[in-house]
Amino acid sequence: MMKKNWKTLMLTGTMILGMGLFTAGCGSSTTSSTTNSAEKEYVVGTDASYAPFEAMNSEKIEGFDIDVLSAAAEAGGFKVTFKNTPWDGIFLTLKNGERDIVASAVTITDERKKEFDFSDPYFDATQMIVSKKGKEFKTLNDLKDKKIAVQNATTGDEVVSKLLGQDNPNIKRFENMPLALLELKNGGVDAAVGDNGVVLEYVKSNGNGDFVTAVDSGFATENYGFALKKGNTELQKKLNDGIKKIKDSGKLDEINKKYGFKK
Amino acid sequence: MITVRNLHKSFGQLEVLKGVDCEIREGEVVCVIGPSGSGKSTFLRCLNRLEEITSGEVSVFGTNIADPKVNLNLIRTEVGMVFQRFNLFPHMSVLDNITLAPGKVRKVDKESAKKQALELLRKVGLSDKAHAFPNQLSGGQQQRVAIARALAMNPKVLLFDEPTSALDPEMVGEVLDVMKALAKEGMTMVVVTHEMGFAREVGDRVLFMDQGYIMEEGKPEQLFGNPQNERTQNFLSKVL
Amino acid sequence: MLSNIRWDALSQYFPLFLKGIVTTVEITVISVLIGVILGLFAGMGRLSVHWYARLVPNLYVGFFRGTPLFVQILLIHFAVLPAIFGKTPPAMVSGIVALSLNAGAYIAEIFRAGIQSIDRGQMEAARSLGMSQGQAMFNIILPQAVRRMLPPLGNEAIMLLKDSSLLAAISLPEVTYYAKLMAGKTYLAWEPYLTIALMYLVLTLVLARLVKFLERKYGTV
Repeated sequence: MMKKNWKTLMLTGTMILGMGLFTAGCGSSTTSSTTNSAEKEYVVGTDASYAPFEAMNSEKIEGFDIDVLSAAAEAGGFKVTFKNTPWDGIFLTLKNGERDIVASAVTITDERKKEFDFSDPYFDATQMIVSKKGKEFKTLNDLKDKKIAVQNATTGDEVVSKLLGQDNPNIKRFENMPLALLELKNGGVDAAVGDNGVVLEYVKSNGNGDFVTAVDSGFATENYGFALKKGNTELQKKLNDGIKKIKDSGKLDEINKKYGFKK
Repeated sequence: MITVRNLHKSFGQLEVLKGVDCEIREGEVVCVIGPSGSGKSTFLRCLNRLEEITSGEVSVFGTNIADPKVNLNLIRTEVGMVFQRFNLFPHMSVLDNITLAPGKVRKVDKESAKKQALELLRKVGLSDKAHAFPNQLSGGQQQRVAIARALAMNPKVLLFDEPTSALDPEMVGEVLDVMKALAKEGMTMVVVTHEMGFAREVGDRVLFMDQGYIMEEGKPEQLFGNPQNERTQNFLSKVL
Repeated sequence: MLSNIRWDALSQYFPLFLKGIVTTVEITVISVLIGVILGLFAGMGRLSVHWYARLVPNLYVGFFRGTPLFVQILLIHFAVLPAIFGKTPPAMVSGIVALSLNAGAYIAEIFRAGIQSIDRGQMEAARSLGMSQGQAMFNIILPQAVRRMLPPLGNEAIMLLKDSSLLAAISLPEVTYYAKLMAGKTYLAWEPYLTIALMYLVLTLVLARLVKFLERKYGTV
């Protein structure tokens, strides 16, 4: 009796795994619908929970990345449309062709470059530690035995994972930055680590003076770029062309100024 | 022992008992007969307040149980009841069915409760079924266990609600025999029944109920032999 | 075709999945146990003849059955518990609170249905012997009701096991959390999600077996 059940179980498991492998094998060949007419509109994935870079303003997605990419597209002569896409899985939408571009404050890293192509950088960022006033942490070393909130699979996550070890339970990963920062605000963690632009925006708009921010001297400067599916050189060229044009024309400086970023 | 005065019982808009008066005396066997829907079961269930009493007075051993403040559990230990569908506890053995209430309510110790239960089982002719479960018994056997269960509380009066109506015909006799034996011992009994033979043979008094009233009452030979009320005559002509 | 699966990545993260699945099982077992206790009281409360005894259980069951578990988790972890304790409790605490409360609401309905499915004559027989409402409930009604409740309780446990995956959102390191971690780090989808899907499947099949076994052992009377 028992034996038969285990057989059924294994059979079921194998079937599902088999189905998976089959579809996985096919997956790579079914996503080339991106080359269409001249009026092709590129679909841009962005996680609109990352003010001021991207956030929902009622029904509309707004923010720095949206302004930059829209300007670059206009200058480069192509069309884009933005789709709110949760960060968890945002890169998978590139892989399976659901999105053509990810514009979501993505730091260009060597790790990511193995999997995706990037446009030229359009913004300089750095990681920032944020903690509560009175329980302040200024350097990465201060955080060694502390509970830290990050957004899953961000550069902040990477930095903290490197420090504490990837499976350290003191790292609390959240789906988006607002939740990670809320956890800090409610006292569930001692600090949070994330991109400076977002952290500063949050501190500005949430209980001014309750939080302390710091940049560890070990944090490297990071560059944001637009991520593309590996090998999509045609779009990469268009993007770089557009970015160059708005850099030259001063449009990018203008957008930076609009959001209060230093040059 | 039990005195009922102007008992009314309504279910919502429907008035089932419309003013019932009667007296049950110690040692008496009172049979209640009547067509279905006459209110006889409801009347019986008011005697231990399984049905809430709408108005009137039901005095049991001098306590008016219509009073909402009365300790019903105490009264019910003295008033046993046997149901049409036996209502044995299916998850317990016959022995546990009988000893549960004495143990939990009367706080009788396990040993004497068991001793008494075996004695009662002998009395109803089921000594060999102490460890059986209800679903292993025939209907007649189940009902005899139910009688033993009620007797285990040493009640002063036993209420029977159509105790043989759910039985196959060949099992009716064994249950009636047990009831007859009880009557002979002097147990006070109120029996709602369709068994006219039993009512005539065992009953000290017979109540005929119809349309929420006791239409006629009297000694069996009188009520069966020479009914006065037209409805009684009508009913008896159909069932006899 | 097998070459498409990144076994190297999978083997690197598999220990984390094992760690995660243990947490998943732990949190499910604890929540079901607490849920049964909550459900017993809420279910009986809902059967009370007194409106004031029904009020709180009705509101409780109505709320937790009428709102998404995911919303309950976020509400409890980020708002309710911080408001009560002054700071966010560990995710494990919030997770158990949220899942137990949710399970309790569904189990209350299972208890209610189970109790109501018992023939009225059982209660009448017990009361006619002089037992109190409580004595009758615990000695007569509940033992019979629990047998009938085993299958729906088993289903609830299976639901809860699956729904515990939502706790990844509050960074509770159960198995889905680690799958998301792997997906985020490796940009792979099949490997983490299919693996944990199979892990859940094995657990739910085992649970279903267990329920069947219990059903046969203590089955209908």
